[in-house]
Amino acid sequence: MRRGARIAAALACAVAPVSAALAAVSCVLTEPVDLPAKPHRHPTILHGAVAPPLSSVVSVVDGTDRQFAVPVQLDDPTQGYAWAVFIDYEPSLGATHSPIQGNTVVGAEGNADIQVINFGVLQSSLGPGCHRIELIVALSFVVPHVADPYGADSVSWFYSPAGDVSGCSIFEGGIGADGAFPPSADASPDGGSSAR
Amino acid sequence: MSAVDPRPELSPRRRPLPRRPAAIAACLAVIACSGAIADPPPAVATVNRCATDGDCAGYGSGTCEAATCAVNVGFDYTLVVSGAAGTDIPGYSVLLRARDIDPRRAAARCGTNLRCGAIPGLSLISGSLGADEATQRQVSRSLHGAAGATVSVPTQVEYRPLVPPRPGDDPTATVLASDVGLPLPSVFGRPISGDAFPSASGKPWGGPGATEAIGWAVSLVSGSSYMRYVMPDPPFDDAYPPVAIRVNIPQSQFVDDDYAYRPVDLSAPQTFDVGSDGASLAGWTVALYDRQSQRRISSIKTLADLPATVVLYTSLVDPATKMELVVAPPRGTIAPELGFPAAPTIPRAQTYPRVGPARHVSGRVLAAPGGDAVPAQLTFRSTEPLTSSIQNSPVRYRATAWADASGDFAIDLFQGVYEVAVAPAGETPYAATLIPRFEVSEDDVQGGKSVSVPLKPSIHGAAAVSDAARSPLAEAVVVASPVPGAFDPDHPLAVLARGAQTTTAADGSFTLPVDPGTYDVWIQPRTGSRFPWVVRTSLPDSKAPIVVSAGHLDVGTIVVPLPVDEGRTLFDSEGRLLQGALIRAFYTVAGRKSPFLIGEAMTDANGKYELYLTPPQP
Repeated sequence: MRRGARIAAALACAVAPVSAALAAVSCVLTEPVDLPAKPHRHPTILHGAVAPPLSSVVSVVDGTDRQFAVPVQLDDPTQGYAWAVFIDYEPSLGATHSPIQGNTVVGAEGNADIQVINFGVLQSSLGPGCHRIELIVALSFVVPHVADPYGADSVSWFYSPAGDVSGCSIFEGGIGADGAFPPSADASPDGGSSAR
Repeated sequence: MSAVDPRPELSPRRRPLPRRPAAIAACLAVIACSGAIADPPPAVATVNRCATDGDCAGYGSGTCEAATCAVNVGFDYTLVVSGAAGTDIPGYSVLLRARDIDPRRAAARCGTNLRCGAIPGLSLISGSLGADEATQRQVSRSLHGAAGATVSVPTQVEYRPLVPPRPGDDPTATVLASDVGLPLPSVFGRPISGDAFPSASGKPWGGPGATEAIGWAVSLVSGSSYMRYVMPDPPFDDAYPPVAIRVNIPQSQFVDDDYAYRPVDLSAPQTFDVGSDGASLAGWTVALYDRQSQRRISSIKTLADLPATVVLYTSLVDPATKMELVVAPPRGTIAPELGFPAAPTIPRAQTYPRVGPARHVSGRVLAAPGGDAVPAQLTFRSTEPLTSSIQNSPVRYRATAWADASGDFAIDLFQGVYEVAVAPAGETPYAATLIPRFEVSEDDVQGGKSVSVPLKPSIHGAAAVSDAARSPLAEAVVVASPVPGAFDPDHPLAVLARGAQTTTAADGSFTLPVDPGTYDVWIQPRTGSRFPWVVRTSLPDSKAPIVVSAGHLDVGTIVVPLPVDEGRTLFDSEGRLLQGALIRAFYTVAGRKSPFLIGEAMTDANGKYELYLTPPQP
């Protein structure tokens, strides 16, 4: 045997047990053990692409299912998600305040991870005066307006049919600023007709 | 699996974990061939993909374009582009026709890519609302400006987008986007002070010591048209009325949009004598409103002592407008309002009648049949005189209550007769219902007033793809969307039907419970499938509208054809990639008021979006 061949053979012998051991270790690692589950995360609203934009006031609801469009980023498109729309959500009413619209979307293999939620609001759901329209998206809801422990994301719009937003003065930051809206502003439990 | 399959493939990372023997074999395979690493998961679903035209033979005329079976029969449609932070349209929605997406408008960036274009840019608008001396004298409201000067009035401003009239319509018509269901939202002006105006601009000045904002600034889409509504701020709104005027935005970077009242544009003063049959109306407001749009169209007066003589002005109001006088309580006050429609004139003398205290009314929403409790929203609207003291007094009241999971509701209402719109919570199987007569007597406390709601009727059908085998289309979203109708101010609760969604089963079938009403039915193959959205507007045999009243309605099998590949790359007017923008495609059909939403997508980091469309089927 030539010297080179002898060295090669010796190396092969030396490496073989190591390789085998490594292979064994590898095999153990690829067993179908219970890997830690990927932590769930609630759908995230892509606020910059929400329509109508969150910085504006909605002065008309046309009743169509396409007026409001909310793109959401899904952490796992196979998992599905749920959304709900509330008008003038009043925290003191808690679970008794039902959404006016909503859906549970079943996840699917191969689904894209960005989905767009389209919805509309009937004028008969609002009546005269100013209102707050709110969409909440989560993996699931425990009760209306309360998401599962993975949390939720939400967006709100301010609605004033007369276009006279000065009549709905509780609007932090001013029109065209950050669109922030204080909790339950203009959400009198009866939604009475006094707000012109 | 064939190259064209309506069912999605399992992507590698979604496959079930191998069992033990398979795992060992896989392990050995990895040792033997260290390069055999699984493909990464596909960015989009691997359905409707092809390599050659032959893969699309099952579809007849389909050919393989961009690895997708498609047809090459382009058509024109309208896009609404929204969002896109980091560009010059953050927070805006832009309307453009597909045929106007022209690479020549973005030549520097599109290069040879013909599927490329730019959206219109924005113009910076600054404006102010002025009143000259003659106007101030006419409305008896001095603005304390320099003698002889036009003085600005602090105001809020809303620009509502207009869209071109449809072919066949009056070409001079002013069409609000919202009236035809195109989702182009209003844009509101930001108040700016006099200091913000360039000194040489010649803007009207707010007067010595003025601290109020005296003008506005806003960005609007160049080359577009808007209806501009100026609404003077309190306290100036007691004399100066709102003004609505169409404006066309030129292709300029900076645009002045000033408006000054002219006495000739103001209406003759309309005078009303307001009294009360006992109640104090201090703090109440009096104004004229457009019944259709519910917008205020006159100056607005706040009452103090009664009786009061109120003078109201309007400006540039369309003579066809149906107006009404409204005497409304202050916000937060539970009291009926007085609404007197012009028929054709409004009497000068207006007396607010004695309506008595509110009655506490409670009840329960129940299912019929079955009697289950139903959570719901209840909207009450008075339909007959609320009081017997003045039978013809147009006092009216509207209020909303919520029934909880036990179906219980409670609300304060005034004596009279109401209609009640009951909208069960979306997750319940019960239909929105209009209760035509709900009486509230003179008793202070009234309980046990139950209202019942029936089960929803449903729409049945199936979805399939247009291959030779008519393969069922699973996992598609089915949307039943109420056909938009005009708002009727005399019957504001008449439209109750709400949109509904479900998903097709493995065999393509679907059952979708809906409120009674007239619907269009969309099949939306799941995002990433590369199949287009399809809308059915009529029943397959009779071609009658899809009217759902009771029971089950079968709309047959809705076939999803091959798409037209309408993906593009978009830049803004400054040549920046349009990233993260929401793209919605609309198609107009003759005889329908609103265009159809036929697809939507989002642009990626390269400004590119995938959009596979087909026009609505006749």
